[in-house]
Amino acid sequence: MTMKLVSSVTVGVGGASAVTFSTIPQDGTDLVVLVSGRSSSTSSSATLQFNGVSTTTYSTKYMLGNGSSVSSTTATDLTNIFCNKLINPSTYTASSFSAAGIRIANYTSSNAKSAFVQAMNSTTTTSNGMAVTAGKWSGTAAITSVTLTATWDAGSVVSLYKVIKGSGGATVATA
Amino acid sequence: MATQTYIPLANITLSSAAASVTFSGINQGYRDLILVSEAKSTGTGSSLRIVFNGVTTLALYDAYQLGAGGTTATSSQSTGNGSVLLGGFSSLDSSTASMMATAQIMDYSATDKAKLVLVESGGSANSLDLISNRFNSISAITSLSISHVSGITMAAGSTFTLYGVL
Repeated sequence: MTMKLVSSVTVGVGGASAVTFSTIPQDGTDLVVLVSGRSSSTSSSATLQFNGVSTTTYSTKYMLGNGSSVSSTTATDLTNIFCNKLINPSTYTASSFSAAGIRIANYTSSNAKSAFVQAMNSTTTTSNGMAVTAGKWSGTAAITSVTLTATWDAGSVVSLYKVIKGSGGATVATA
Repeated sequence: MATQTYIPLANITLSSAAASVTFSGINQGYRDLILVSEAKSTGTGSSLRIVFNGVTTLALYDAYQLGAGGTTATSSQSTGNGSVLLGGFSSLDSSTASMMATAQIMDYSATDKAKLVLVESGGSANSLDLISNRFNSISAITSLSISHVSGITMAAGSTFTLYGVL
């Protein structure tokens, strides 16, 4: 199976301050995190960290759209990858959740790590928004844990998949 | 057992700098292709591109782009590109960081329609891009080559993986 579920978390009653996937198997190529999220606060963002590292080793560049304008921001020396619009804020329609995906490439490599985040808030009563974020962690260790910190509301679902590359078939890659 | 729908076809990690990467003999038995790349450049001032079936006719490729450089976001249309744009309004980052790009090549094996390629790419040190490309050819795609627009080589460690989607 190419894209294999590693673990899935459904936030229970009472909410959670973070969702962490630890002891991630090291036999994949990329990681994919899928989020259906809602916050118990007015915040619509979450932060992403690897291996529990909270030093200023992260940087991001993101683009935001709210249906009438687009903006972009870049930031370096951050303590996390800031994921805009990853979760619906509490002000949105009850029982509505965001849709978001995070791809982390080559998570076992000894190079700096790249992450690409696409996120969208959805509601029928207040302004929607979407964000695309490119993040980098300069750490060279293999990623063994992923933490998404937010005021997660009950019913949020966060799932981690590993993607496995393949070879040996009719399709050939050459350089 | 459930039918696999996202099939890895081939992959390559550059052991040394290379001018291009080519996937050939692409199996025609899928609906879409997905190319995932994480590339580093040996120089600046260039974007990655994809050429299908070795065809570089300028007029056959055009694109709509939505991009951001970290302070402003812009949108543009380009024609006569000669290739599919894989991302990077601004210069590709140096070997200290990578640009990640995912390209979904829709209905690649069809012989009755032009091919659409949806690209999402970005790197925290360069630019973010969402690009809709069109390859105006009804030929099935049997090969694709990735290279820099300006001929700069891709650094060792760059990775490229091709998946078939049922």
